[in-house]
Amino acid sequence: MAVRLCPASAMLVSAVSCERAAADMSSVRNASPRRLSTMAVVLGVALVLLAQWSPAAEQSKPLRTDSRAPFVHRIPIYDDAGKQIRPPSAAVKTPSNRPFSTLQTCSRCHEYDTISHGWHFNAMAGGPSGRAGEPWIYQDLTTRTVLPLSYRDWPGAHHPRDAGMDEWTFVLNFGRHMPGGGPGVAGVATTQPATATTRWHITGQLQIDCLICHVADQSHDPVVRAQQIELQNFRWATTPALGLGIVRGTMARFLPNNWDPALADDPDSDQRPGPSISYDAARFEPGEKVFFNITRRPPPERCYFCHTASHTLTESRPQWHTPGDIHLTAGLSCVDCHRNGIDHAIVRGYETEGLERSDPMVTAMSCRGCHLGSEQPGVPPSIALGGRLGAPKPLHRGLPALHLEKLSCTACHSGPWPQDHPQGVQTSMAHALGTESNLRDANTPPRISEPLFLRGADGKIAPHRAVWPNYWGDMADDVISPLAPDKVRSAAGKLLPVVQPANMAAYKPLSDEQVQQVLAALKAGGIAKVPVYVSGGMVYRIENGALTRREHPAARPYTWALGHDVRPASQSLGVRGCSDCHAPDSPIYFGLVQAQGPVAEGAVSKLMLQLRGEDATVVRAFARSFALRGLLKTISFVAAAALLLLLAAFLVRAVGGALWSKRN
Amino acid sequence: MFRAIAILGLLAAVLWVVATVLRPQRKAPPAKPTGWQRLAYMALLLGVGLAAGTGLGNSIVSSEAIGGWTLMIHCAAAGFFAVAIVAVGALWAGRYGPEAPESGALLFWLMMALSVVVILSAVAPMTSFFASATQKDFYELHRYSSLALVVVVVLHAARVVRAR
Repeated sequence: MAVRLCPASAMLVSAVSCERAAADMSSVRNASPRRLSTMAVVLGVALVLLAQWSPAAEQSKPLRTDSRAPFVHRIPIYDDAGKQIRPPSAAVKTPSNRPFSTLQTCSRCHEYDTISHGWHFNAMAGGPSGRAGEPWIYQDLTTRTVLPLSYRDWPGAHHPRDAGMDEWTFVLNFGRHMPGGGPGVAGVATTQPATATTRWHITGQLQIDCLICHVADQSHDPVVRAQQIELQNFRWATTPALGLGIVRGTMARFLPNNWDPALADDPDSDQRPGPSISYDAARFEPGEKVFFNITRRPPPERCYFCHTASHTLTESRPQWHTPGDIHLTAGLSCVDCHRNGIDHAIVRGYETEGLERSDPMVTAMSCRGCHLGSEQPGVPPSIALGGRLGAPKPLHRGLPALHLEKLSCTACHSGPWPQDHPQGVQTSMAHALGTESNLRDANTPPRISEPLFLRGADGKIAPHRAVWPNYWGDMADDVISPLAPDKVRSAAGKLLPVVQPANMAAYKPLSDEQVQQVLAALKAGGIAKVPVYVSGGMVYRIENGALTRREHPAARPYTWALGHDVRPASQSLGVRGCSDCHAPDSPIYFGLVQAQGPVAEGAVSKLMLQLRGEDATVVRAFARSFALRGLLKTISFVAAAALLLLLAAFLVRAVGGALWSKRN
Repeated sequence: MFRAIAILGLLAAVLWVVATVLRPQRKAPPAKPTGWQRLAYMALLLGVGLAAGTGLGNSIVSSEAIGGWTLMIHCAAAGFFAVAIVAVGALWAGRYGPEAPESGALLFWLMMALSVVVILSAVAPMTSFFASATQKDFYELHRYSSLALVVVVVLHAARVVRAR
């Protein structure tokens, strides 16, 4: 497995050099033949040099330790142009000021291209999407837009372009909790319309930040990285996050669209200086090497930056009340189950994933695979037997086996204990948890509810999280296409007063009158032929001059299964008996789910069983029948005992009679 | 697999009944059942009919596990059957004692024995003593013993009816 100059790296090189190339080409047109030949020679020499410093030329095979002991990363580091970074010192006249590049540094030993196709980076690759996961939730406060987005083909999720977002805008919005790669490097490769919002040439790409996960300590600060992304310093974000240096100059966000990176280092240029790095000499050891405390197995704290789900604000539950996941308490780590190879195809852990990926080892990493083993044909005994990592094998005493076929493990074991109403929950991806804010509170949108007990694609009931879409759209043939919020804002004008994070008091539900006025404005402005407002599980539109609302598939919540926190067996559903679920008021059936979102009234409200398409009468009758279960058991045991006595009496008489007749 | 066995078993029982009815009766008819005996037997047939219709019937027509109204009717019929089989056992046992002359004793006592298996295999998993895997075994035992019981009840009922 050779380390090659991967396409991503080629992209980077082309991104950096394209501006210069363009400048060169304009001068080529005016050059004389002699000058042209000179330039050709120079270009040839440059290409040879380029090939020489490329990682592919340095070695054909990656270096390996093949040990369980971690490799101590005391290494030279390289900037985005592939030059070794030299710290400021007396010996170095011109210290490096370009940003540290994981691509140029890590790919010298690791298969960056292979890694870049891993689960965290391949949303745009068009491969199998697997079970629907947490979407990115785009919000525009003024228009009350709440739109679940994903590049993956997940039912109910919209493509970012539906919200008028190109890759650059997507990264600007969500890069804070993205590990880089994917849309962060796709901008150069894809043909995008030149818009005022696409500023790749200024911001650079958001490369895969290997260290956001792989530092064994807290030496990488994802909050600093998030701040840099907000400042549009995509290319520079990792360097200050690692504490290697600080970003000086004008932040990319404040550079005009016509800012030319090719002239960034030109002292004669009159344009403002762009961002540059001032490296911390103290981070460099002798030999101009830097020590990174890197681990193959990222600790849970690293995962939690992007994968926290919290009830601290929504349920006023102090963080210390949160017991956490039983697996972590038992000493396991996220990556004990969510494993991956160099391809970074991380095991997501749902039951059917192993079959989808045709990999029994993936099956072994699911709850069922680890605790119960696998009956899948052809799996090795180490997987078939279960009990990996010392996982206890549950007996499920008193639980009819049918439940294991109808329910996912998580239905009884994961998430908060179900209550009459689903709870509110905030997540890192949706609420930017992990980043500093004093504005975040219980009402901070988007509203996400959990647990909703819904059927997954495999037909099993599992706890889910849900977010209700809220947006303005255009309806054609009963299909609703979202309208880009900026178009809605411009058409609505003062009908939708501006709402900003600092002014959340203005984030009030829209009145029916407001909705009707905005719909009329969208129609009058030619923004939509049949304008509609999707909110609270309903679709609003103007029919015969009046505002009507009705349920519509487009207004249904986007739901995704939750896996954590896993509760211990002693706190699982059913531990108190059948009535934990089979009672006329059990939340798993009769929990009331109300659509959440900025809607004044008329939001859809349904029982959990109705969301699963079950008949309330049957379920209620079945639940009530459990009151007679004790009687049925008593009758059955008494009847069995009576029959056994009868059989015994018959046998005694038959055997006794036979013996008596034999004696006489 | 079970579906095929159930269909074959029930077909065999029906054929046996037809053959029994068509065969000329050689022995003298047994004593007429009393009113209580008839009532208990009718209750048993009703209980078995409902339980088999919902249980075996569901297995034959559907690949889904029994649930909803069907399961509720099945459970209600099961309780009814449990009472009825004890009543039949108590009221009819005298006719099939070791020294009694009436034929069909084997079927009768087989019916009693199978009923014990059917009842216990259904009610034991309702306790918290058995793991899910064992419950699965109980479920299979319940299905097959129920099928056998239905066949035996049908054959015994045919004898009783024919004797009248």
